[in-house]
Amino acid sequence: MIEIYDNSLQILVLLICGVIATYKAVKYNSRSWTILTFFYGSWVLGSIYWVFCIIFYGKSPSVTTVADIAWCTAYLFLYLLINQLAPLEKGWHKRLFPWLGPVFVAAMMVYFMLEGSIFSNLMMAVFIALLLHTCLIRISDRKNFRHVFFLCLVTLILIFLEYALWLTPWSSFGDSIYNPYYWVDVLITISFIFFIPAVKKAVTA
Amino acid sequence: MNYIENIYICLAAPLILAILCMRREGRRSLIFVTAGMTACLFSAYVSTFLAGVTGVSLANASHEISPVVEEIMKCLPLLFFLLIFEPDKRTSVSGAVLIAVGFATFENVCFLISYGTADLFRLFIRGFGTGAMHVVCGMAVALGLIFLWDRVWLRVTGGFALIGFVIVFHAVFNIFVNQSGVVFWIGSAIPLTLVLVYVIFLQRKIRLT
Repeated sequence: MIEIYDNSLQILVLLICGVIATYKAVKYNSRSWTILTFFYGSWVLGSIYWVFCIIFYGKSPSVTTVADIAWCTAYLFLYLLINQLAPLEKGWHKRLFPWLGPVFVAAMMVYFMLEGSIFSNLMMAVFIALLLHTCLIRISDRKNFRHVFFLCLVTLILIFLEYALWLTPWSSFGDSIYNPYYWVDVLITISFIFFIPAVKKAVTA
Repeated sequence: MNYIENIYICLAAPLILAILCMRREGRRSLIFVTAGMTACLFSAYVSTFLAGVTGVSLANASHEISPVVEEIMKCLPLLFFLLIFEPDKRTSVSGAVLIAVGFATFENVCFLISYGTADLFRLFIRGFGTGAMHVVCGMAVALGLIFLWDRVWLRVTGGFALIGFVIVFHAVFNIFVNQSGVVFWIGSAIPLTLVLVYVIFLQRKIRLT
């Protein structure tokens, strides 16, 4: 029951944020706001899909491809948004620091693959590595990418909260409000709200 | 059992003949519609095969496998058109929507033959609901093409992301319409409402063609 409440809260927040982003996209005919709308849309559809599978079929989907696609798509839209707002200059691949992101993701992927599905972990890792790398490039070069710094920071927080969520031992605490899994998920829900001021700042800069 | 190849031949034959007789835009539009129907035919084969391989039941396959296969198959003719003919924005956008229309038409005919034509009201809702869902998916891809057109990397990455987006939208729609009663009505009404919202409020702001 707690899982449904937690997901419902996330859906509600994402829907409100999605409506705001859509309004801004239509009002300003802006590509950045449109991509943010699609980011919210993908994530909310993934959550809706998961919740309705539990409600109507009594269990989470046996083939998780659709839900995984939803979340990977959301990461891809964030990647597009950051690259669109702050295009890269030549020689970006020579910097070492941003490559720590993909290395971290690869290590986590191997860890998750030991217990979970190979395909879905690989798919998720590819998209998160792309996003993490692109964020770290902008964060490491704050002088040139000052306008997207806040957006990249919020994205980084979202990614690390996601990893914290996956590493939380759900089964030790069960379906209760004291389960840290749900608290981390609530933090993820809160982090979605900050994308709106972050994109606003990046667009107006 | 449905022989969907036979249904396909009956539906596509006049279109193929018309394609041979017509020229320019008319011919192109009919090719897109026929390509949509062909994509529907092939996605039925692939979905059935994958459901058999993964051992997923027919009810679960409709939201776990079919949306992924159908949306990918639907984008293949468009991808071919974009890569080979390098068309302009307007033609590509029309193409995305017309392929969706062809797909929805063929799927509705197969549904009619499977479940009969007695319950007009349910068929009316189902026809408009599924039709609207495929059109919404086509419009989402078209909208993305409009906004992401000017740079190649944006078009390619955005294209992938949009296909992912429509796959999930399709899966959620299938969960709704597989239920009965109010949930079925709500599921069918969502894409229809989105199309109406576009026509009434957004068409002046965002012109797809």
